[in-house]
Amino acid sequence: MMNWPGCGQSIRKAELKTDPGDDMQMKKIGLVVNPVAGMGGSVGLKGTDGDCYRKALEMGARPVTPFRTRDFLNNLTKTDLFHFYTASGKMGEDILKDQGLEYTVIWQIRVNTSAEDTKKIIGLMVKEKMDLIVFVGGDGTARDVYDSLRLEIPVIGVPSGVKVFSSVFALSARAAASMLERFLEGAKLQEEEVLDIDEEAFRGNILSARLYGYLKVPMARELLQAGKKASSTGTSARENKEEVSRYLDEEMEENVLYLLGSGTTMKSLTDRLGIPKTLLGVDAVNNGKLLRSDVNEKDILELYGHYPRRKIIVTPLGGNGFIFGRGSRQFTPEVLAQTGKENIILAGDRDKISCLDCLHVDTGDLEVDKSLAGMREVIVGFNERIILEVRY
Amino acid sequence: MNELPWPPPKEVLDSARIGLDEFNRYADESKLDELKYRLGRYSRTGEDRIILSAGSDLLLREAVHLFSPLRKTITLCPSFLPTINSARQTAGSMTRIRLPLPDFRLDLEILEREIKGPCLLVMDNPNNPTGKTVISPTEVEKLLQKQDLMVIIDEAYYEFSGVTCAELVDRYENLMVTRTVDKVFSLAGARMGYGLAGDLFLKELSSFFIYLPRVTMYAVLAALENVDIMLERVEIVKEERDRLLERFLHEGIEAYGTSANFILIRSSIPDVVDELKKRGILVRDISDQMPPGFIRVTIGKREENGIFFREYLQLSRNRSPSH
Repeated sequence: MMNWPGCGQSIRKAELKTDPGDDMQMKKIGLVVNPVAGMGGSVGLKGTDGDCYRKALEMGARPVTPFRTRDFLNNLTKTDLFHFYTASGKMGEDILKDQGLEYTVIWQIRVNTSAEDTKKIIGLMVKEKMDLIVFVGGDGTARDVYDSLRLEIPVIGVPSGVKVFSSVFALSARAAASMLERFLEGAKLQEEEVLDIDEEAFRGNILSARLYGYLKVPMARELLQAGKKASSTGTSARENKEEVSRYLDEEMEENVLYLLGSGTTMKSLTDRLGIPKTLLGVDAVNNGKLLRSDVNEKDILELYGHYPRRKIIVTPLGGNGFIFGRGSRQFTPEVLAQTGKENIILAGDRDKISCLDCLHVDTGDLEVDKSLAGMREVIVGFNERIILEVRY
Repeated sequence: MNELPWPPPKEVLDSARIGLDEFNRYADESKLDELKYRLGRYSRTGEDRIILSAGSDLLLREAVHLFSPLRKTITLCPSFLPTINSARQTAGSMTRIRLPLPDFRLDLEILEREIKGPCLLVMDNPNNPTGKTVISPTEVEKLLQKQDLMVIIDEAYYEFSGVTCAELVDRYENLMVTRTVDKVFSLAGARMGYGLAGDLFLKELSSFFIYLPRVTMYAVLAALENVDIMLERVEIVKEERDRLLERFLHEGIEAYGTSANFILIRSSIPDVVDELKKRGILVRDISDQMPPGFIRVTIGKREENGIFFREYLQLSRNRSPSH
């Protein structure tokens, strides 16, 4: 670790007397970690903004970003080609220190951090002319980064939030590490979207997104997640959803606990069953009846204690094909491990699935991701399927 | 549209005019038999294996409607959409197997796993719109030995790929190969396709008979006498295709080569299809079956390809930031 003028930090590597960024060969990489991002997911909250963070803590939510950041750092290569600049404590320093990587602290955080810290740090990084900034968080963090950065410096987004729909994010923390490698190799840059998700609408079960701005990212399309595509509407899309739900309804078995993920295809199924649906949450159904709505990880594991036969039905996200790791974060690695790959049914509307090259999982647990990978079928009509690969 | 950029040779147009002069008459059967004979020679199968159709899509639809109701239909994703839509109307069940990026490879292991019970397998080879040759005749022959499996291979782009299963139709009753004269013979407006059918297909499709338009019949008869001209054109298109692909790749643009008369580009230009249309260039938006940004670009004459390349590059440069 090095100090930064005014930061009063000690120097870990005494021989490093000058700013490592002065070395023309050494790239200056900023690292900003949003320590609260993603914490609402497992407890069924739709984010960690404002009061939701306190609520998430009360509900027993665990931090997510340290794992994601560690996963990113563990997969880095060519660490001799760059030097990290970061904020103190949980916004970067703690994890870099744990991982034994060299870094310089440029901003001291207080006990409680906020979006203002992110903006302040990014502002400092612009001033100090970073070559690239890595941020760990969700769509809210991406917006904070954009506010202070615009198109001045390229970024890599490590996905860690509850809402991660912007296309500036890498597919996973591992993919983010590969992107950094591409950047060091001189990859060109491209502009990708930062989305503004309407928080109030989201909590009210409506996904309303607008384009907030663009950030520059290294050009590595296969490592970037595509932006979420809105569900198709119109008569044919609605008819297709009804076709899918009719098939699912006919295939549903007695005395099996069904956990229905978010989205309009699942809503079509519950409409058919005559029960309400939490559009952006998970609902538990048994023998055609609603057992519990908007369940979180704890609820699901409790229900699993009572139902030895259980199945999850989920819809891949349009545009990027995520089945787990974006959207319904209540399906935690623990839940998925207890469910088993064979009890996961994928269904979605034909137009949406036809455009996907593959499906993705990014649960944060590599072993669970591996267990879900491979060729899978997605129901896209009545007795109609598309087989495609699940990648992690 | 996917066509050849040159009009038919003079000999073909002259022959078509004979049909025009006799436009009050249906095509006579002796001439249709002659057409089958010539197609048989061209395809190196017996004339008795030829089924004529007004466009290969019509024959595909007929065959799919006939064989899919009590079978599981297996096809590819992406694939020729009219065939998929036909299957959706009648198939007992349908499974499509994704051809994934970056090489659009067909997972044969998955394909074999899916063939269980009575099945109808419909594959375009080369695949449309990826242009990839997805299966070899040897691999098809292995599949044909499975019980209760009917196989249709659509070879609309055979002349560009040079890969065909035609020689298998004599030995396997459960195989039909479909082809078209639309593209390589510069006869898209004539709309004629044909099938090379194994015995089971011949039997079940015996009632499928099309009186081809007289003009079409004469045009194709003459075209089959001028195969050399067509083959020269195929070679020009292939050279142009590879040259254009090379130029795009050299510019760092994500482009994909094919075994057909087009290339694919994955564009990051917003509304690229409309932008090109404003500049008088028509490309096919294939994002209904592919990830966003994919367009299919049919190879034209050299000067046309040059214009497309320049216009695309200009659009691209207006948009992209550099490192």
